[in-house]
Amino acid sequence: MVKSLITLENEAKKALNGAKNLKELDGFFRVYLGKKGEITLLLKSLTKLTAQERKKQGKGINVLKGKIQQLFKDKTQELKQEEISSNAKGDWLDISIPGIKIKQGNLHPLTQVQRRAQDIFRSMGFAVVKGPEVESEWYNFDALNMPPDHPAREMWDTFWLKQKKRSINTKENFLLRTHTSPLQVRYMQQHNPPLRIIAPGRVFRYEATDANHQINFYQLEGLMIGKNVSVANFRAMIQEFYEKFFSKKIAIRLRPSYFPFTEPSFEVDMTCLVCNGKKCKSCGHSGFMEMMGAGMVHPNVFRAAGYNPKNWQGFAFGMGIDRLAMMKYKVEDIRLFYGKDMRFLTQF
Amino acid sequence: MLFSLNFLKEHIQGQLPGPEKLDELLNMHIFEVEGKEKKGKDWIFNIDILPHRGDAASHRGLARELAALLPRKMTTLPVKILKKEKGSLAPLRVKVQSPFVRRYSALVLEGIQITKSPQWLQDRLELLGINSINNIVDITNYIMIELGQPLHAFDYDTLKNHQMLIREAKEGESVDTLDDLTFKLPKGALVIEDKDRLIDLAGIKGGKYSSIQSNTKNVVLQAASFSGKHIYETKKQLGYTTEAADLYSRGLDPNATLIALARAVELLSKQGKVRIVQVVDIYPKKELAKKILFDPALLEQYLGVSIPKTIAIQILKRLGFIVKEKKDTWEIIVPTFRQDINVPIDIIEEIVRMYGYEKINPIFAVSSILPSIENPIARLQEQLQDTLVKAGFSEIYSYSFIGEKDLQTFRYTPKDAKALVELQNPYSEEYKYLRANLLENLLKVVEENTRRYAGKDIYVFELGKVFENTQQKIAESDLITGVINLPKKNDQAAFAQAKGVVDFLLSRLGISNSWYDNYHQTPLHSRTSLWHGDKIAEIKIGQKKIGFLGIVEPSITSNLKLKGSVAAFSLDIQELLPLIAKEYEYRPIPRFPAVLRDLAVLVPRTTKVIDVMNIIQIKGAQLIDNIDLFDMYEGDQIPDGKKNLAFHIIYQSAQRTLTADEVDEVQKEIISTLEKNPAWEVRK
Repeated sequence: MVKSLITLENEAKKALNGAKNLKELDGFFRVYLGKKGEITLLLKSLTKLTAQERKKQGKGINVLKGKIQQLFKDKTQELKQEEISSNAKGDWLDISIPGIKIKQGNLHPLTQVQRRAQDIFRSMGFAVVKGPEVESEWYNFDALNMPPDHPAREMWDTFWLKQKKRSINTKENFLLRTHTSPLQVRYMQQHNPPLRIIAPGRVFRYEATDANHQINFYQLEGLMIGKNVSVANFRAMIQEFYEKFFSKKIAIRLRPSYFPFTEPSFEVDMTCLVCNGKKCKSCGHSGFMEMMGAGMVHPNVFRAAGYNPKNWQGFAFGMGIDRLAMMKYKVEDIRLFYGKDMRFLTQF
Repeated sequence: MLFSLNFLKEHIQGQLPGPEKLDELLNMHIFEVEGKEKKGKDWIFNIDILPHRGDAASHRGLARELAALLPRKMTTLPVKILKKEKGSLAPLRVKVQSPFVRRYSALVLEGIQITKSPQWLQDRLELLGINSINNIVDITNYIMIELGQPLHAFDYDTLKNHQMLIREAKEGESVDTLDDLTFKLPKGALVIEDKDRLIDLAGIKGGKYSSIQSNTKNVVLQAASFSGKHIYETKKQLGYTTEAADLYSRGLDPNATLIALARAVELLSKQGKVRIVQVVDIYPKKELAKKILFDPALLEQYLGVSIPKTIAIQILKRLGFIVKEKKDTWEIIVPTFRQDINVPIDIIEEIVRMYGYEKINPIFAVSSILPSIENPIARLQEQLQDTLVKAGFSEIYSYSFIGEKDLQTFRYTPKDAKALVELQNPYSEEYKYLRANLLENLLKVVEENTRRYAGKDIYVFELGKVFENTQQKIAESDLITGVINLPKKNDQAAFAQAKGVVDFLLSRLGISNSWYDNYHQTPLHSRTSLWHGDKIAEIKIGQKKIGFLGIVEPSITSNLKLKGSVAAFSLDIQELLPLIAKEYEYRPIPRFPAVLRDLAVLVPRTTKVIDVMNIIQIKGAQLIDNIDLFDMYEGDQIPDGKKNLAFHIIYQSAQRTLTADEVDEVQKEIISTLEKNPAWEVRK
């Protein structure tokens, strides 16, 4: 007796659900969908019927075949994935294995600090200016209100250069710039006020090297000139800079000082980062750290640059980049920056 | 400079704040305190007197500042009136012959007995780090630290002819000083001459032949005023200084000489009778008080804070200024001891430091901010640094100097060395010249790390300035230089890596027309003896030479004991700047699939890869997207003197999908063209 299609479908579904692995699934295929499978045979048996009957019954069988085939495909997929997962079981890896080191380059810490400082000043409208490291005596001293017999020149221990052939029309002496301040005059000679610039760069001092001193190091000069640029403006600007740079609230204090190219001149101190102003060993129990020298540009500097000091005023400052880097990365010896040890340099 | 708190107290009326408070007040309003220390019942302060303040470099001078700040009154300085008595000595004849002597004051003291100083004087000097010598010398030192006026004592009887001529030294003269030194004098140095000898290096150090001895009977006590700038010049030329010379260099008040002598006599009188038999005072042009017209509106204009008029005037008065209020301006009379005050802004500083910088509140500038101008060199430098970091390089900052030893290590020829910029006053032999390239110091970095990183590649670079002497001047260039050290010897591979880095650098800058030329004589900022003569290429953009690429001279790597192969490249940033593309444009992603074919050619060792690649490129024309040399091999299974080149050729069209037949056809044509060269064999 021929089973009804519904019975066949139910039997097939049941058999399919019962299949536990791919092998059993193979058996299912043979029984229902293989060459001699029930559904196949059923289709074959149609040939014996009349065209009309064939059409009537064929549709039902084909629908059933399609359904079973789809279910079979789904089940196959399901069992395959189960098998992959179960095969992988017991196959482990050691999560304690050390990671393989990435080959990577490093920007020098002084480059990184210099860039960060530049970014902050740029955001306050300052343009970046660069200048020569071999400088004339005039730009390094005379133009900064230090004529040759000025005792204050002693504040900058200078490397002087031998000159092979001095060209006839110049009696200039050359030296390695002792500060970035020559850029003040160089820039003002070429540009009209108002202006805001910073000039980062390498400077040189003839002095004994130790953990805090180097014969070459980096400075960042700042200059802001306008009609009413004042000491109060300087305080606001420099406090903003240090707060951004160190990402914390800090206080600034100014103390009297002397530089020939500024008047008034002051030292700039900042809240000690170690104790936050509570006074500790690092800041000599003052609660403050010395950061840099600054002041209001001296009228003679304006004259040297060709400005009329009656019309313009502003501040200038010069901060040490190395010192900023030492504070930021807690490096205790400036010499490491110029040393050759890559175990230090590749940490940044 | 050292200060005794007890000594300071003698000059100020009333109580002083404690040492801690004093420290703070000094720091915030006057000078920086470098340290302080309790010594017995006294405190010793080490204070950094600013270099322009000659008036404050003494106990009374600093007391004057403190008194103005606190405020307090000063005590009266006990002095003896300088009254001449009759004596038996022949008069001293003093003549001044230089405008650099602003005033020459001196006393002739007859019948002085040289003894030890009283104990209190010895103790005070010692406390401040000065050795006690005898009663006369000690008084000169004491007056210097008390009043800031240098004194000098001569033995009257040693002055031939009883004469002193103060004049400028002539060419070739020399003087013997009392510390047993002999100075060859620069022309113009101030000296004192008796009949026929130089007996004093004026303002700097006393002379050997006129100094006070234990048997000295009669003394010339000098309080002179010399031009500070002139003394500064001389001490600089001599490379020698003393406390007196440093004091003069700061700039001293010529009006202070007689008071200093009167004070010295007062102190000497306590030890016994002092007979002044002559008072010398040559003062050609009396120093008058300066007058400054000051616009008080400048205060707020400069400081950004409003200081009440009355307070500002009070501050100035306490500091010894006389202020007369006119309509819009103040007429300010500057005391002559303030040689540093010359222009209105100097007045501003006096007021603000005493008023207190802490009272200036921060105010942001209200002027409009123009967008800051981009600095193209700075930007290019950043791009180059970033690109090399991406390529795995570590950045180095080396010294701007090289030393004598480096000339040997790096095989400088005499001609090379001549181009180096030499320092007049080098820090040491190790830092004698300015670096002429960045490569040498980078190689020293590799040397330092080679053992630590044994078996590993080292990639380092530096960006910086180098210097050399040219015909006209000292030339300064901005370079970026990289070094690759491969632990295994393979120059070709090291070279190829370095070249890949340069390609990457230039392509990131949007430069497409760069190429590598054979090296030609006329190097660009790089000594050729640093490079392996046969393994160096010039980097060019169009016809412009912008740098070098090559293998480091083997004898140099051997001097540094470097292992494996060392390749380097160096680019001139100034040359590069005008050639970089403004914009970096992306290349569209191909829409049609690529077809890959491999090709291996056996060629003689000395055949250039580029010659083979050129033929492939020309024959393949539009259809070849890229040719990639993936292997270059000589050795086993390759005939002697030959090498095997293996390429991936990527065929690609922007218009359509290529068929296999089409590609095979082109490939066949490439092969047959390559094989026209009898020395080349395509391996099938």
